[in-house]
Amino acid sequence: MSDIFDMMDEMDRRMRRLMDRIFADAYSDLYDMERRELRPLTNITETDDEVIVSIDLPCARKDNIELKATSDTLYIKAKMDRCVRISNVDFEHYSRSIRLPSRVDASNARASFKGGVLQVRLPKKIEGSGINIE
Amino acid sequence: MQVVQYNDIHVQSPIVFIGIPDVGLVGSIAVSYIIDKMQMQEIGYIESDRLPPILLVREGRVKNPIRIYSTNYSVAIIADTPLPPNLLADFSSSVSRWLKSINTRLVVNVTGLPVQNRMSIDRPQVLYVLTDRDAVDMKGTNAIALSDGIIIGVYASITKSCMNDDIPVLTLLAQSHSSFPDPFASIEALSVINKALSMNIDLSELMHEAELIRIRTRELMKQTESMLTESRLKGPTFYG
Repeated sequence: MSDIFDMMDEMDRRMRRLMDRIFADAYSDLYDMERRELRPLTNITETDDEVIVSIDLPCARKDNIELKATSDTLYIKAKMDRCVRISNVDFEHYSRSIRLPSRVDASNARASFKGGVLQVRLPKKIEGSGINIE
Repeated sequence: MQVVQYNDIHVQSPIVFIGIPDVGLVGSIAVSYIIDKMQMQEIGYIESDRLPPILLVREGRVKNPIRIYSTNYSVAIIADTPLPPNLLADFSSSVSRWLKSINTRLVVNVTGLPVQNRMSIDRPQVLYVLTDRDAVDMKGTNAIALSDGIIIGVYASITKSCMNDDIPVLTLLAQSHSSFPDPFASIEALSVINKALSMNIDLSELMHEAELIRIRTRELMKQTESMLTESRLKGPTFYG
């Protein structure tokens, strides 16, 4: 008798894994189901001098945002001030790494946070050097 | 494409609110809120074999992606999916014909006006375009008449079809984020609707729930963004 229950448990586990995979595939841009993290919406624009990354972080507060940058990637982590349940999964964090369209000088980046939107301005790295003409 | 009604409707000379996913989901959020607050009932849907194969399941019930709701005096049309550009003309002419058949008094389009500096704007400004100046008195509102510009996309298509059918159209454009859901822009548009149409929609719940709405509408925003990008309509749906 216990064999039948073991078999049913295994079927249940497999079904859950399959559903998790299907769900994760469908929403991989917006959710990390394994880590239970939301991937925030982003918008990237460029000027001649800067890369400007806007990140939508509703329910996050300035003090709970971690931001790091290298010359080509921006990393964001943030804790939400409440738990949000979506499709029976509880989410409390945002996390995302954002590949930048140009190389930047990360040490001179500036960030501001208002109305739940984080804006990061990263000056572009000046490649090469000027040559004086004698 | 055709409008399918569940029963005969008894609404006479209604005001019709239209919320199709677009910039900042301003119209979708505003019109969903109107449907909820006015306790409108679903009365039909828009059918087309060219629409994306999407059905919404809500509380165990299957719903069509473009639905029509009404009360005694108002009608709302709302979509859960952005409309592909190649369907806009067909959609607009079908809707407009139906609106004419129910003797529509006024169509109210609600949409976003993407602005680069949205982060630094505390209260988004609402602009409006009115096809018949006598249809609504906008004097008591804070909205500014758009004097010069071009509107592009689903609301331009609806406005054109309605003008051809002699149905007055009020289009409200609230300054908004272009790529993020912007319920605060919807709130400003709804404030204008309250004043212009002497309605009394309580906006406190929308203000309170704004952050959650932003999270729950992310998928629709992403789909809409993709569609706008694909159709090369991304960026301004308005040029002034």
